[in-house]
Amino acid sequence: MKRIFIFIVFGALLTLLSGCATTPSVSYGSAEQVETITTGFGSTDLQMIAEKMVNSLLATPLLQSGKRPVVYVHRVKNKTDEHIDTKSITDKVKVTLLKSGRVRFSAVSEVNDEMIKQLEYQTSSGIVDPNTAKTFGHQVGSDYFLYGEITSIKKRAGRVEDVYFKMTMNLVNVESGLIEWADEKEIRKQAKKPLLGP
Amino acid sequence: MLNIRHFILLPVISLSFIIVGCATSAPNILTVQAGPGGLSSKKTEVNSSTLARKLDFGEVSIRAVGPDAGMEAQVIVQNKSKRDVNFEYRFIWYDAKGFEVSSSAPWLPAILGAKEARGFKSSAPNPNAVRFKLMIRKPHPLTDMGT
Repeated sequence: MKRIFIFIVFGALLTLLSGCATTPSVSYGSAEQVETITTGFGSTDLQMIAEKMVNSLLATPLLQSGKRPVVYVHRVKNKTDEHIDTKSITDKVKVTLLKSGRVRFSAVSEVNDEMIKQLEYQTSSGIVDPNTAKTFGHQVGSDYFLYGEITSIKKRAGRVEDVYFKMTMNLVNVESGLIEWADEKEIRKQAKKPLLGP
Repeated sequence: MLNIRHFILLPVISLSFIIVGCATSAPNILTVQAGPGGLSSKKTEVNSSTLARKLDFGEVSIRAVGPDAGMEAQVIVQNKSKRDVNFEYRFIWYDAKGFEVSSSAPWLPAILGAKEARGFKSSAPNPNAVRFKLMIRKPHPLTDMGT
């Protein structure tokens, strides 16, 4: 009888452990889930920055006039000590703003060489129908350009690591040189190393 | 000694541990319908009474940002407890036909200090949006930040 009891207890324990166990196999997760794997710059930080900047930009009167200004996206300077793909930040902001229909973006900064090659092909190769060939001198000039920078402050004391990120973005009027809009997003992350382990 | 009660009790206890251990946190949802003059109606759906005891949806403000522009909404979230509360939130916008117009609606982490109330803002992704949901839930991160 005692043996049966021990067997049941072990069985129940096994069920408990296996029921909540995380399997080492690969699985798909939600890109919308909060990620806190390390204190390094991660997907949730990118989403928080994009959310703040898009909300702020959409609320600015500049994008509410119905004129759909043309914006040139300059780069975001990475002044942190870790590698951050800053283009993914501006891309996320750009895609969301573009979908709002209130702004247009110039692709000049990203694919200028390709556009020049394509225009040369259309105008000079003799292959493209001249009636449909696009010619030089018709690109739309940007009204504004967007730039920014990301900085961080890292501190470590004992088992605690604290990281502070600050992202600043500015929208500059190309003609006047005035900063028409600016906003910033601050993020603080903390991690505590376990007593045991690496 | 052992009797039939032990055989019934043990699986019940282990099952309850499994259920509690693997429980996910269902969000509390505030649904807001905008009308021509701003707020038209709002409805709260409580799925986590534990969270509802700590966090409350407060005043809702809606404004049109420009002549043919979309809306900007702000919801006050109040921490009723005497401790800091960590939570996650997200806004999802819908058009008049109920189609989701948000291109993405990531869960974002937030913290409210004891008895603190703060406005959580979101701009409609496009002018067709007329309704939004604000969801809040207990922290449910991908992985704990151990290092």
